[in-house]
Amino acid sequence: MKFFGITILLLVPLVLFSLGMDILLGFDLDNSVKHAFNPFLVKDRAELILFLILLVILVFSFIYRKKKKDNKPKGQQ
Amino acid sequence: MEKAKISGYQLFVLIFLFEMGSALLVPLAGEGKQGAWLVILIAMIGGILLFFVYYALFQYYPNQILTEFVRSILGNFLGRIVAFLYILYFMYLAARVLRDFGETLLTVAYPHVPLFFANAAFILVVIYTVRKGIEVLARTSELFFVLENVLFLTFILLTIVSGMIHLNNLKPVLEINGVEMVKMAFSKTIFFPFGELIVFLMIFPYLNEPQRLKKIGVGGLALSGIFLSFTMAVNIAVLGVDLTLRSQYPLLTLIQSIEVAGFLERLDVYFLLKLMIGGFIKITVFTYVAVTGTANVFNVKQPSRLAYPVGFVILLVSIVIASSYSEHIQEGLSAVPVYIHLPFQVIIPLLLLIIAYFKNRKKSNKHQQHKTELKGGVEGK
Repeated sequence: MKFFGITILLLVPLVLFSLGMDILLGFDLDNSVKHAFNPFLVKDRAELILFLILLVILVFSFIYRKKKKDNKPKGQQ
Repeated sequence: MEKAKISGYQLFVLIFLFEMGSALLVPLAGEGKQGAWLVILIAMIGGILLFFVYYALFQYYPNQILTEFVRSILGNFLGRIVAFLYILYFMYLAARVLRDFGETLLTVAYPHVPLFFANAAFILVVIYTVRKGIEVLARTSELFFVLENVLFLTFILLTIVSGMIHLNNLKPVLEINGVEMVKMAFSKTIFFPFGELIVFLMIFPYLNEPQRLKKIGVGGLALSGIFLSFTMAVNIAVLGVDLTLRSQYPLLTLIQSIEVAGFLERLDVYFLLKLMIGGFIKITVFTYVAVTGTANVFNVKQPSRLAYPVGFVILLVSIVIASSYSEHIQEGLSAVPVYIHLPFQVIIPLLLLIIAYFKNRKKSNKHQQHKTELKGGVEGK
């Protein structure tokens, strides 16, 4: 959950940052939002599949934890 | 901070490749016209001055990375915010460089491939390297350094042999006067690529011989500055000012026009190899620094687990950042240096240095007072 929170905390300000840069260049807010999210709305099928695969790996990376190796020597109980 | 050490040579190589990264891609200091190479050299001197600011900060806190000592200087709350802003800055720059290289790949080699594919392939390699840690990155850059220099030498040799260099294209050198040149150097070229050295404040503590840092830093900056200046001079000498400024990738145009003995031609692969080496190192350094910084600010015990999420965010931002390449470049030329580079590379580090100076003077004064009191006490007895 912590990793999910961190990811969102990094993603949202960065997207706002890039929208802010668009506005500084002279676009209005509507246009800059359209510019920002257009690439995700007009994806090829192949692009969409890759995007989904990467997204699944991301979700998996939030959940997955490496199991700690047992330090117990074999044969001891 | 991971438990790792890198040698002085490895740091030097990292700095060199990092500086060469995306600076070779664009017509650097193009407004300088025939004197562009001179503007780059002036900016390099400015970059070395900036490096001394970073070096002074590192001297105060030799065992701490940037996100750590910011908190020591500004206090926990404000320090954490500034550290977080620096992480965002590094990620934003990583996304910008990734977009640069994605677009270059599409323009030069894969015109039918979607941008998302090119960027995803690139960032996956970067994520893998970042997971392996700074030592692997340093060793990789050692290997690439040799390759990059072999490529550079053969490229220069081929350009000379093909007889394309016309030194007259470089005249008049001082068409733009000195004051203007200094203004250009200190308003744009100093921030990109020289000021970006601030990311190394997150890497300096890994150096196993910190007493040599000054020489290594200045050497790395000077060598990369001279190489960049030389490349720009060759670009202008071969293509002329107009074509260099109009060309999207002047170095590519130059390499494409190499023709030796009627069979050594179409050397575009040269350009791509040279660029990919620099770009890979640059994006990896930014991503690595963002990962260690995030782990440090949010107290994450396994930083390598952050590599994928941070890489994914960089990938998304590289797509969101601009709707077209021209918008991306326009943003990079007009808005980024003033609104982003200037505060993060110059203003905040200078403020931090001033505060650190007063804080440490107070401390050393107290320390000295304490010492004299102790001495007096012992003598009194």
